[in-house]
Amino acid sequence: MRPPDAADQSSYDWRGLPAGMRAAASLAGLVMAASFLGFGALLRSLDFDLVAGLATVPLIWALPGQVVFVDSFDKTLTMVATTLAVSITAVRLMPLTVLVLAQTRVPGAARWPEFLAAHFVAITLWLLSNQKMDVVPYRRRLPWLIGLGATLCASMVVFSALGYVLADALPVPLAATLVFFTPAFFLLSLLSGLRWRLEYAALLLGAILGPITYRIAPDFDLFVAGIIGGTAAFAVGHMMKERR
Amino acid sequence: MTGVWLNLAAAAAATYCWRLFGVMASRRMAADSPLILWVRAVATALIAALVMRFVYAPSGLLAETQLSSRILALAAAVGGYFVAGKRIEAGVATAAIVFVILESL
Repeated sequence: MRPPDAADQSSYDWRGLPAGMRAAASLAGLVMAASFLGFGALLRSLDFDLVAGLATVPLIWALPGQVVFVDSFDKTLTMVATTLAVSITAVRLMPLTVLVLAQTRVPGAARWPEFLAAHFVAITLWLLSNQKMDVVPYRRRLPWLIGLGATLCASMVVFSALGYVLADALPVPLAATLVFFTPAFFLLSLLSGLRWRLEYAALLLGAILGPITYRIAPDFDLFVAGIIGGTAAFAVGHMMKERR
Repeated sequence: MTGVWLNLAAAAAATYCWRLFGVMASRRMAADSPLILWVRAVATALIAALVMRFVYAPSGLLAETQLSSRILALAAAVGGYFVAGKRIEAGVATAAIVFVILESL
């Protein structure tokens, strides 16, 4: 470590960038690749314009939103309806962005890298930052996130194209298994990242409320389940702490 | 084909908006504040609900598979994870094996 001086402490350390790029080669990256192979296969099955379909990867960079986009466009919904549907799936990105960036704050540092890093925030990036960012020195974290996000993003364009080409070759059970990697990985990553008892409660409540809210409001189900389940778990955890 | 690009631009902007709101909100919160803990709880519940949706109301390819395979494979994921000493890769591999076997029967 170099001796600390004021200017040094209030800026990012860009040696985190290549470290983040290397961190993309991970189980999470592999699972993500499986999901994007599935997305490529979906483009093929809809006969969607390949270039525009691949462009959704870096431009939207959230698989649920991408699926809703190609699906809505395929059903020739109006632009307003399509945009609204995609926007609803993206609401969950807001809390994730808050959580990821809260771990990277360097007082006094330039703000523009935050806007860039925010573009790469998605569930996988949040889960990876939970698992791996603890050991990354504070000033390297934002560059680390940008390196990780950009590498994942570029790789997923390739995997989507591969999925498009492979779509007709893979048998259905195998292709479906690729898609099933995603929920299995999300669930286990959540489990491994839980730090407080109230988060276990939040996980259980979200899992129970999800199917119920889907019956009532299929477009807002995740958002409603998240707010109600998370708030209830937080309130109970908070009350138990007060009592002690 | 101009229609798709205009639509895509709108969808991309709508998506980035939420990330932008996140950037602005994160500046008002300390990393260890109760507010962050609440946001974590909401995000955790939301992702848990998303996982469940893959099981009970999947779209695309998964919709062509059996509900029982999806439930059993997800249970196998959790089982494999704990049996192997909390290893994510073991859980995911167990789920994949169980799922592909059940779907090939």
